[in-house]
Amino acid sequence: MTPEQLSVVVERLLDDDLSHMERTNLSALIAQDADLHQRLASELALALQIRAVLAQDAEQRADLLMATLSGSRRLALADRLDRAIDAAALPAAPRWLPWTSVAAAALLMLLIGGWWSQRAPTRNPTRDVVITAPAPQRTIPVAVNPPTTPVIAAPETPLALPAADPTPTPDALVAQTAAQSAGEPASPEIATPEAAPEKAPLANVPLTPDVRESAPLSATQANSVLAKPDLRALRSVPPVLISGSAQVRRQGREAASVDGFRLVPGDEVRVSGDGADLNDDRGITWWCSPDTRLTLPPTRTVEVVRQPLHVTLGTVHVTAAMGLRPLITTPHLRIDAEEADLWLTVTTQGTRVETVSGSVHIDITTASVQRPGTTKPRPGIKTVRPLAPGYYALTHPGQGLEIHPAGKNRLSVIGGRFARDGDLQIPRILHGTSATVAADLGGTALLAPLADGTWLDQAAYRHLNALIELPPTTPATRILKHPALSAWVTTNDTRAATAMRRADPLRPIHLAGPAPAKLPTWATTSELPSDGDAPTGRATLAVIPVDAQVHAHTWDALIRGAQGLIWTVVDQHDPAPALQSLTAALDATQSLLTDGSRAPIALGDGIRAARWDRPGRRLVVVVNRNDGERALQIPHTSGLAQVGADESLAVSTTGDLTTATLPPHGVLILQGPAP
Amino acid sequence: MTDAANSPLAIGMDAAQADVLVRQVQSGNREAFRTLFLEFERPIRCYLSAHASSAEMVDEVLQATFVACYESIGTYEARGTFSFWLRGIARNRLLKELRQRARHDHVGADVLEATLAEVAASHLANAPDHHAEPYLQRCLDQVTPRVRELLQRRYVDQVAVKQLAVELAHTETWVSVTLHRARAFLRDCLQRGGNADAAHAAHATDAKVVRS
Repeated sequence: MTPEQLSVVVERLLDDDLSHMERTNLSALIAQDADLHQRLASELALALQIRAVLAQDAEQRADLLMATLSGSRRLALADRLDRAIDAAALPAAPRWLPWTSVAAAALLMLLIGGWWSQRAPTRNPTRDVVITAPAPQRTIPVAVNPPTTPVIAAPETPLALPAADPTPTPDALVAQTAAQSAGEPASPEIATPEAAPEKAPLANVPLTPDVRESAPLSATQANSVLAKPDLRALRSVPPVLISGSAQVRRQGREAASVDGFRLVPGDEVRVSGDGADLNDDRGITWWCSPDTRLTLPPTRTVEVVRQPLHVTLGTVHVTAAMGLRPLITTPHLRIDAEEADLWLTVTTQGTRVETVSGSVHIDITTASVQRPGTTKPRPGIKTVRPLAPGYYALTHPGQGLEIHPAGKNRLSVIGGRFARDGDLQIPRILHGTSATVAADLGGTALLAPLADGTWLDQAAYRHLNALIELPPTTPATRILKHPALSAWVTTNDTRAATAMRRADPLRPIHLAGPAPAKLPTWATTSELPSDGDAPTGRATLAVIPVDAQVHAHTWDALIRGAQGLIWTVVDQHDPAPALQSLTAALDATQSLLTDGSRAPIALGDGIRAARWDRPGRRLVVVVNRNDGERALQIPHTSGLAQVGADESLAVSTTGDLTTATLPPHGVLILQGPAP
Repeated sequence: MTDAANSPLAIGMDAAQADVLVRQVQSGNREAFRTLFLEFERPIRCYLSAHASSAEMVDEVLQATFVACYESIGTYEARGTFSFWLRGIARNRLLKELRQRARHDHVGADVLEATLAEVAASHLANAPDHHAEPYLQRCLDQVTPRVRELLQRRYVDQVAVKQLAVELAHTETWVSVTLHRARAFLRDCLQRGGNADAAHAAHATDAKVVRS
C-alpha cells in the first residue's frame, strides 16, 4: 500500500467511512502484513495524539465529569436506592414496636434464655442473638428473632419448645406470621444477621435474670426468617413482588411469603394454597396457580456496542438495558426536538445506576450539528456526545401514544420505531393494555447496524416477550424472566434478524413471519398458521392488522392457541380507538388466557370457539367467522357472565346452555366461576 | 520520584501540589477534584491516545479513568505518586477496554476493530513508558498556522475529509495526503525530541501548506 493510499485509508477510518466489506478486507490485509499494521496503527495513534494536544475542551469535560459524579452511584443515587431497598417489604427488615411489646418479648426471651442456659452444652448450633432489657427509647437495640408460638406456656416442659427446632416447618412459619400480623407481642424487633454479634457471652447469662436490671442475655433461635438479600442483587432487578400463598426458599432457608414479598435472583418459589399473584413495579400482575414453581434467574450482562439513538420526542428517559460505561461522553444520540432533558440509566454487573435528571441537559436551540461525517448542518439538530454506548431500552413514562400523520413524534422514544419501508408498525401486547397505557409501561428498543449504512430500529414491549416466554401449560416449572426483555420479535427478514442477533447475541429471536428457507439455528419462528391450531410445545405469536375485524381476528388467534399478539398498524392508522374495547376485554380475561388450559369447542362451520379452565374459573370465547348471522347454543356455560356486554348479541342462558345470535365476525366472551 | 520532572505525565503541577489537592478531595472538597482533572486530563488523554484504537475509546476511557479515580481516591496514600497512580488506572482501564472490544468484536462483524484492539492491547501490555505530549506540543508549535488550522479542523473539530475538501477547494485525496505529510513531519519532529529538521520538513511536508 502506497503512502497515499494509506493516508486515504487512515482518514476514511477516522471518518468511519469504510464499508463493512472494506473493513473486512483491510482487516485481512493487516493480519497478513505486520508492517502495514504497524504503519496504520502509528498513523491512527498520532492523529489521536494530535487531537489530544490541540483539544481545548477540558473545562467542558470537567463539567461533564462533575455532573456524572454528582449524579452517579457514589452519591445521591446510591443512598436513594439503598433507602428504597431498605424500605421494601422484606420480612427481615427491622421494625420498631412500642416498648411494651419489647418488654413482653424480652420477658419471653428471658424464659427461653433461662431454659437454654441450663442446656447450653447440648443445644443445636444455630444462630445467637443478643437482647437487652426493655427500654423506652428507640435507639436502644432490642432485637431478637420472633420466637415461635408455644414459648410462654411451658417453661417447665422444655422439650415442647419449638424454639429448639432449627428448621421450623412452613406451617409454623405461616402461623407465626399470622400471629405477628394479629398484633401479638411476640416479636419486639427482628434482628438482621448483620446486627447480631457472632458469639454471645453465654457464660455471663444469669439463670434467672431480672428484666429491670437490663442485663444482656443470650438466646438461640431457629432461622425463622429468610436471609437478607444482597443489596446488589436487589439493585440488579426491578421489583417483583409476590402476594398469596407461597413458600420462598432462599439460601437454604424457607419461609412463607407475606403480601408484597419481594423476590430476588436465586429465590425459589413454590406456590401453594389458592395461588399467588406476581406484581412488578409497573403494576402488572401474573396469576400463578397452585404448585407453580418459579425461580428468578440471575441477571446477565452483555458487552456493549455503540449505536446511535434517534429520538424524536422531547423528554427522554434512556435506559441501558445491559452493559455500563460509567461515563457520559460518547456518541451518539441525535435529538430532533426543540429541547430535551436526558436521564441516563445504565446497568453494569448487576448494579443499576442512574444519573440524576438534568445532569445531561441539551438545549437544542443553541446547538449545531457536530457529528463528523454528516452532510450539511441542520438547525435544531444536535449530535449529543454525552451518552454511554450500549443497548438502550427507551421509555417515555407518562406520555400518551401519539402518532403524527406525517410520521413525526412517532414511536422512536416510546418503543422504538418499528417501521419497514416507510410503513409504521406498532407492536402491541396481549396483556390488555390500551395503547396509551402501553406507552406508560415502557418499551424496549434495539438499534442494530445493517452493514450497509442503515440501521435497524426495532422495538418490542417487554410484556409481550414475558408473555410468550410462559409455557402454554400450567402448572409447570417456570423460569420467570420478567421484567427483563427475554426475546426480540422480528419479521422473517434474515438480514434484520442477523443484525439483531449481532447486537444482542444472548437473546432469542422470534420470527413473526413465515420462516425463511434456511432458518438460523438461533431463531425460532412463532408464526400462527393462517388456519388451524398453533403448534404445540412452543410459544406462538399472531400478527394481526388493526382494522375493522381486529376483534374477530384477535380472538380467533387466541382460540387457536396464540400466546402472544402483535397488532400491526400500517401507515397512519390510529390504533387506539379500535383497540380500546378489545384491550379492556383482554385485560378482564388475561389470567385465564395465560394460565388456563385451552380446549376447543365444536359449534359448527365457520364458528371458532374455545374454553379456558383453571381451578374454579372458566372462560368461553366464540367467534363467528361467517359472513352471515348465526344462532348458537353453547354448552357448559352455567353461571358464566358476558364480558363486554353487547346488546346486539341477544345472549340468554338457561341452565347449562347459553343461546346467542352472533353477527358476522361477532365475538362472544363468557367468563365466571366454573360450573 | 516525587517531582514533576520525574512524573510520567510531565504536567505543570508538581507531585506535592497534586497531593495537596488529593488530600482536599479526600476531605470532601469536590472542586479540588475538578482542578485535578483540569491538570491531568491532557496528559492522560495523550497517553491513552497513543494506545487506543479510536477517538471515542479515548474519550470513554478518559472519563472512566477519572470516575474510577474519584471513587477510589480515598485509598490513595499521598506519597508524591499521584500521577503514576492515575496513569495506572488509565492503563488498566484501557487494557480492559481493548480486550473487551477485541473479544466482543470477534463475535460480531467488525473484525477490523477487533484486530486493531487486539494488537493495541498486546502493544499496551508490553509498552514502555512513553510521554510524547510535551514534545508533540513543541512540534505542533513549529507548523504553520494553516497546517495547524487544518489539523485542528480535522482532528479536533472532526470535520470529515469530504467537508474539508469542499472548504479548501481540493480533492479528498489532497486533503488526506496533506494530513499524512503533516503527520510525517510531526513524527520526524518527535523522533528528534521536539526539534524539527528543516530539510526533512521541507521534504516530508507539503511546502505550500506547512511553510506558507
